[in-house]
Amino acid sequence: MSASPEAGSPSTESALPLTFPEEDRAILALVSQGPPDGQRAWRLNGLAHRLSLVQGFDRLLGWPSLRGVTRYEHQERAALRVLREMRGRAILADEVGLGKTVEAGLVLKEYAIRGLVRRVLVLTPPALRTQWREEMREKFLLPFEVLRSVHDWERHPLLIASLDTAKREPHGAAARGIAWDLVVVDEAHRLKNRESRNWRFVAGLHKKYMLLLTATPIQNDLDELFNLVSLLKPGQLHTYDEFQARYVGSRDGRVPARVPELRGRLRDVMVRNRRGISFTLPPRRVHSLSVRLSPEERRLYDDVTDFIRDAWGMSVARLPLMAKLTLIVLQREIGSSTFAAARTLAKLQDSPMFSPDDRERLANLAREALAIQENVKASRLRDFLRSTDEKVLVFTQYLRTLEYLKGVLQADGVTMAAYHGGLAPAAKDAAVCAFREDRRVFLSTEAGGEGRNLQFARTLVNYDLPWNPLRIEQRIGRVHRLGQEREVHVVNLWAEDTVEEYLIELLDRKIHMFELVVGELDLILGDLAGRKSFEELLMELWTLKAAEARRAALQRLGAALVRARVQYDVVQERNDELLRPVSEEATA
Amino acid sequence: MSEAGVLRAFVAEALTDAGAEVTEQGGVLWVRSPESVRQALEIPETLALVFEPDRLGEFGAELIAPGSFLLERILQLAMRRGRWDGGRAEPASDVWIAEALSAAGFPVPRDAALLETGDGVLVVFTFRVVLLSDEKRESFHAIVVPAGSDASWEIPAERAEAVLSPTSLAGLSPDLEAAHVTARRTLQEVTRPTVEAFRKGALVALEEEVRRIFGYFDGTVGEVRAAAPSGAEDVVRAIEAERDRRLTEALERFEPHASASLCGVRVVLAPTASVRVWRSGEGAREAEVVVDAFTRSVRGPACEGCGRTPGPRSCSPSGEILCADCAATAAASAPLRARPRSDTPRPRRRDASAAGRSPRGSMARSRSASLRRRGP
Repeated sequence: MSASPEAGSPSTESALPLTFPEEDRAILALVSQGPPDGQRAWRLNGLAHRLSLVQGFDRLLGWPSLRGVTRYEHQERAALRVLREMRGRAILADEVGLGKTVEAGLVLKEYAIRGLVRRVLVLTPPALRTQWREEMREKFLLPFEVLRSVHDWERHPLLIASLDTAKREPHGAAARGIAWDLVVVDEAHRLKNRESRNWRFVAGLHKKYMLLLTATPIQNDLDELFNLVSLLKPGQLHTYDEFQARYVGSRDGRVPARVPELRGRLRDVMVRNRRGISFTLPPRRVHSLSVRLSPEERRLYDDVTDFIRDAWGMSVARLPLMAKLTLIVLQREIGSSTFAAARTLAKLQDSPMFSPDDRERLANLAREALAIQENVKASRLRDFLRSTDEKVLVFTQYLRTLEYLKGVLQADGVTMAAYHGGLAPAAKDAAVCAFREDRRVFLSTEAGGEGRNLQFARTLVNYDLPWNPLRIEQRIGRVHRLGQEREVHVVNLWAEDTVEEYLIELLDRKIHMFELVVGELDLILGDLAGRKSFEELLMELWTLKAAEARRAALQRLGAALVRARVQYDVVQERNDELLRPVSEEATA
Repeated sequence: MSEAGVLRAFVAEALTDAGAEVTEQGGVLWVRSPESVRQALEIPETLALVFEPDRLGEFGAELIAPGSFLLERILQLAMRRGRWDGGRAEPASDVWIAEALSAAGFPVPRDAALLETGDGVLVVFTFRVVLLSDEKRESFHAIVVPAGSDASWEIPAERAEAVLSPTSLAGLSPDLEAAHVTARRTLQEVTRPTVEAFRKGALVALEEEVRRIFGYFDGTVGEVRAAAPSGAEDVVRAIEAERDRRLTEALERFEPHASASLCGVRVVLAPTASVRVWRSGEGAREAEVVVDAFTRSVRGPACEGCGRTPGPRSCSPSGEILCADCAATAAASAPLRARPRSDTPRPRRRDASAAGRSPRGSMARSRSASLRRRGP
């Protein structure tokens, strides 16, 4: 669009003349070209312009168009502070569970509505990419895509990528070649080291606005805080040497000096809401219901596990990735129900991934599974439901298990709403609505864990346990979140002497995961074992053939988790000590 | 009307104007669209719309709210239409001249004398002004230009949208190019204070950012050189390159821009009258002014405050003909009509000893005395 400033008029004295686009002439030409558009169209034209005017950041315009986002004052206040006072460059350092993602979404939405942001990059840990995508799409109606190939950099203006992938070539060059309007870095404590590739990559991006999300800006020493702030606003904490001289009071870099001054400087770039009186969540009670498998189920479970251990142990190095994933799924399914495993076993008996001998074993296992008509865990669930009058959410990972449970509960006269990923959006809404109104049980697959506020209920049953603890956390987060006013009950159903028992041992007994605030677990697991996920670690130890070795490995992993938990508490204290006053106005 | 209510009324009317059938049932707007609307908005033939987020999903309805994509498309559709209109302004009553003069402070009707009446052509230009740096501020302005005149002034949007009677505009052919230039100049004038304030705000932010960047990077260079007096040149160059990159980024982010785009043009045929007015007050004088039935503004003589000729005029209580700016200044600095009563107690006099006790004077009665007097 070419534009011309007004020339030769007194107004050119203004240092900032208005420019007028050449396209305006086309509108002038309309007058001589045809009949008028009419009075109503003229009035609507003016009204359309006035309705769409942007007048600074006087208020958040996006609220009415958000879906399933409860309006919390602290989030609104945080977003407005970022927009007005910090001019779009901020560290969102709320304590875990207070909705940093929602705050980032609010800021992003406001910029998008005002046409100030078109190209956005969200950098997250790999495990959170999909969650971000769903949340941005469902809650904020922003059509984000997850990076799949190098062409996506140009293809999608709203992109989510893992920091690890984005910084690697050829992605790194592609990302640096784009002028981003907004860059969001989730779990930004990974940028604590300015010598790291992560830090350098983010620093090298061409960007207008930037949001760094972390509940723990300081993990070890004050250098990390300096590095984060310098990424955002170089000079805000002076140069490195000056920072060291002014604000670091001990050799190990952990004790701050001139604390009021440092806090004052942080206040210009950081928003930190704390859980106070109004943000306190009610307590969570965990109930562990173990079951002893029936002899048929026990035999099937052991046979399937033996098959998996054989396949895994003999050829783990040569095992194709697909086969490896299939075995993990099979082990998880048999922990859920025989019905979930039966289908996979039936499929695998014809799979070329396995040898003829293996396929024969799989065929036998499939027959064994199909012969089982009832699972003990379902009876235990029925007993539990009879013992309470509460509305109950029952989560399972598998549709087959859900269908089986649906039949069991229907036969028992329990009213329920079934919810799974295969339902159309309207049917999903209807299921949530029915549960809110008159159904006792909300029977849901993992899809029910995403983006739905179900805090009108307070009892949740984990019919099976996902191996990814974050998935468990998401389930719990549906009911134990801001807005929940009653004590929450989490019921874990698990079978003795199965991999689920290991999960309970590690997550419940070692780190008391079921009592953590949603979000804390990720920080504990974050640096647990380098690049390996918790699921991989679990599968590694579960597939060890010797029981002794399994027990030893379980103990080692348990000890590592305990250490991570202790370290997390230390980090929390460190951040609270320095950053609490930054957020004094934001606590209840 | 609530924000949702305003949007609902706008959307219903805009879709109807574009050719769609719109019916409302229980708060849901049902839309049946012809092909042209379907294509323009990328919507199916039938569509349900809701305006409250908690009703989303009812009948598979789309939500219309600030930020929703469909609302954006409907707004764009309305902006692409209605960019030119024309008609005749019919005065609502016979006394429109007197009303217009009176509203501008002129002493009518007794002293007015009608010199000439006829139809004048006015051109209304509507503009959208966008101020952009790392934030955005927009405003909407309607500027009216009498055809063949270099005068122009801003009118309220409601006035620009006033109902006109259909009439043939053939043969009028005002010089739109010239009128457009005049309107743009007036728009510059009208928006100058806002644009200047915006520019200053952006430059203050830019200056602060630049100072911080220089402080940080040049300070770091100093520290690097101090730590390794020789052999640190590569590092220094890298730091300086990064500084320059950050400076460019800061400039792109904060540099203020101001633009205005034309939204529409309206050609108005309006009854116009030349009137002689006799101003009262000190040094009462005669003046000839022009009024029109569309803008109802009084114009013609030069401002007796600043000497400028274009734009509407008003008559001050002392009989001066002033432009809008001078009238505002005069109002703000007008001397008080009467000497305010002093709060300083008067010196005591033997015959009025009570007066000194009350700033309200000797007739004032204390509150307790008043209460006593009223009695139960």
